[in-house]
Parts: sequence; structure tokens; C-alpha cells
Amino acid sequence: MTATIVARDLDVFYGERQALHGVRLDVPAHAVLALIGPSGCGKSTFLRCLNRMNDTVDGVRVRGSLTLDGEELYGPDVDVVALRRRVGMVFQKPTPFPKSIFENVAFGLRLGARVPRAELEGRVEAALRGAALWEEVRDRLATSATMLSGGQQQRLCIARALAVEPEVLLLDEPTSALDPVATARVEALLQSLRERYTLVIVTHNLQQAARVSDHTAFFLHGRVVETAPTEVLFTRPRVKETEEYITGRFG
Amino acid sequence: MLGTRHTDASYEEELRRLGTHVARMTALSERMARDAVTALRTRDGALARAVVASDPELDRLEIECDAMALRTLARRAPFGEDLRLVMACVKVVTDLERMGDLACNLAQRALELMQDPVGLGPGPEVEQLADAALREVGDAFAAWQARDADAARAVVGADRTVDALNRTAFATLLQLAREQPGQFDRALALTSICRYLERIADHAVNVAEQTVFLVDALDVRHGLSGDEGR
Repeated sequence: MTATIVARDLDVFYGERQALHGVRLDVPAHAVLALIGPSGCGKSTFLRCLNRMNDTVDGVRVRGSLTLDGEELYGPDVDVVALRRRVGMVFQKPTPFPKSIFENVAFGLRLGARVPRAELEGRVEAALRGAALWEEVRDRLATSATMLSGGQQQRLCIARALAVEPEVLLLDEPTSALDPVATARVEALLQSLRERYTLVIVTHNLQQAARVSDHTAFFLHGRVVETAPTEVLFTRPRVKETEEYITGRFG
Repeated sequence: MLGTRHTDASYEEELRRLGTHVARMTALSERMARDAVTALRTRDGALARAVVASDPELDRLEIECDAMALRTLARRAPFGEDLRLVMACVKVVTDLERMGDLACNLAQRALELMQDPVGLGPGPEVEQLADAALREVGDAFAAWQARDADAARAVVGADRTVDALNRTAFATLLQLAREQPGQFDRALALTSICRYLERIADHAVNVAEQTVFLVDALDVRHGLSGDEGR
């Protein structure tokens, strides 16, 4: 089951400052949604609402509706830990724990409940396969994850996120620290993950958004200016501000 | 069209240079077509030969435009209006180069007609067709330069007139060949000229269609309304 996210009139405040203004956005299931826009436009704030990472920021206030399969993410009874298992996240810089490759992937599984060793091994392998890393690490699972290359570390982080079998995967500039070859591997991986997960990626790289996403949302000053199928948004956007941004006539 | 300049001034300059190059091609191909028709009307051999001599310059500009467009695609990976501009330029320069070839063909037929010592003109039907075709070329290029989609649409619509004038001129020339066997060679050369003029107008329509694509992001080729590509 892959989730569908719906935002309606979503406002986010950091103290007095309003970071999102009445965001209305549908995140379709089994697709890659790219969030683009200049720095400070609110795209990362929106991404971090989706698994309530913003809760960790002092003075944050959220208003409006944000649902995952119809369930309000900011409802009073929401179990945030359970939510973050459903909505995984991968960050800009690879963040492997100083543990073995195996333990990195098994980490989230062990947090939830006691998992028999055989099942654990199976799920670690499945996650590493899902992240297109298994063939490269199968003979050295006990090696420290910090020995992997940057690109491999990022795919390990994706494997770690996949291990707990989320429905949604959030990616915050996941390749900005990677070389072109590692970037291509991660992008190819995103294409294959789309079949099983809903993916939301924040990227400053417009070519990357054009390459990997099915839909693109352009954020500006905390608002969604335009959302469209990626092919449409990058060839014939409806809104002047979008055209100015994607053609580099901006700021 | 966007009024704002690109943040990267060198990118702005690159696109401006591509546009200028295409403008040079529109100017040269239009001049070649007009001069070829003038040479035909006035039996000006020197002008007809000058048209033919201009063709290598048009070919050179086409190659340069394609190279510039390729470089921009490779280095800038343009989006939106910029992507449409590069795409449209690549397509338009092919039409302009072919218009130049047709103008040369027309000039060569005009030179052949000048061999005839009787010195008959092309006749009113061919003259009318030439006027309409050249008007279409002028209007299409003006719309392209002004990035005026409405004016470009008017050119697309006006092409029916050229087609009708071509049919009339062809029928007249066929009748001339039948009724006056001594005029057969002249009539044959003039039917070729009619075909060149009609095709020159068709290329002008292609330029107009690319103008609509560039400005409104709509594909209106082959009678499409533009919504089909949406």
C-alpha cells in the first residue's frame, strides 16, 4: 500500500515568521514529486512537515490540513514515531552510523521490536537490494559503513530507510554531496523505487528534477506557485514566475 | 514572452546571439526570394546571378546556427521559453535554408527565360502568386522577429490564398502550353516557378508555426489547434 498525501491551506510558522502560506498540494502515489524553488522558499519546510521533522524546531506552529491516506498528520493522537516509520527520510549528506553495514540497515528494525536473526538478515538483504547496494557489499556486511564511498553511503542510508518498509520516502537534496556517477546511481534507484513507494525529493538541481520526477511543484516565498507534470512544467509552465525561475531569470 | 533578463549574463548573450544569427538568415533568405522575383519580372540577369551567389552564405549561417544551438543545449540544458527558442531556431533555420535554395532555383529558371529574345513577362497569374508568397514571407518573418503569435497565426491562415493562386496560375500555364506549343518551354519553366513560390510560402508558414510554438508553447503544425500536445 502506497500512501497519498494531501495538503490543504497548510501554514507553517517559525515563531513570528510564516514559512508556508496556504499550501495546497497533492502528492500522488507511486510517483516521484520534485519540490523546486530558491533557498528559503519553503520546500524543505514542506518536506519536513510530511514526517513531522519540524516538531524538533522551537516555536514551530502548523495550521491547516495535511493528510496521509486521509489521516491528519498533525492530529492529536498521531504517534510521531510510527509516522516516521511510514514516512522515511534521506538527508543531503550521507549519515551512516559508526557501525557495520549490516547494523546500519538493521538499526531501525531493532528499534521497533525484537526480530529473529534469520528474518533480520532477510530484511537487511531485501533493503540493500532495494537500494541497489547488495551486490557491492554482500561480502563485507560486517565492515564499517564509514569505509563505503559517498555514493554507497547515501544508498546505505536509503537502504536503512527502506528496511522499516515505509510508504513514503522523503529525500532532501540526496545527491548534492555526490559525484556524477554516484548521482546517476541514486537517480536510477529513485526510478525503480517509484514502483513501490511514494517519493518526494527536494532538489536545487533543475536537471535532476527534470530527470527523475513525474510531477514538479515550484515553491516561492512559502507558496506553491505551480504544480504540473514535470514534462509540462519544464517546457511550458503556466505561470510567469515559474518560467523565470526555470530559465534562470531570477534573483 | 519574458521581459526579465537571465541572471547569467553570458547565457543571455548566448541566446541573443542565436536569435541574431537566425535574424540574419531571415533577412538574407527574404532578400534572395524578393530579388529572384524582381529578376524574373525585370529580366535582370545580374540580379538573378547575385541570388545564386548568396546561397553559400545562407548555408554557412545555417551550419553556424545549428552549432550554436547544439552548444547551448549541451552546456545550458535550457528549460521553458529558452528550450522552445533553441528548438524553434533549429527548425526555422532548416526552412530558411530551403527557402534560399528555392530562391536560387527560381533565379535559375528566370535566367533560362531570359534566353528567349521575345522577352515575355511571367504573366499576371504568376505575378499575383509571387506577390502573395512574398507577402506571406514578409509577414511570417515580421511575426517571428516581433515574437507575435497572433500575427503568426494570421500567416498560417493566409496560406490558403497562395495555394489557390498557385492552382489558378498552373491551370493558365497548362492552357498556354496546350494552345501555343511554341510557348511550351516558357510555360514549363513558369510552372516550376509557381511550385517554388508555393513552397517558399509553405516554409514561411512553418516559420509562423514555430513562432506560435515559441510564444504560446502550442504546436499548431498540420492543422492542430495546439491543445493536442497539452
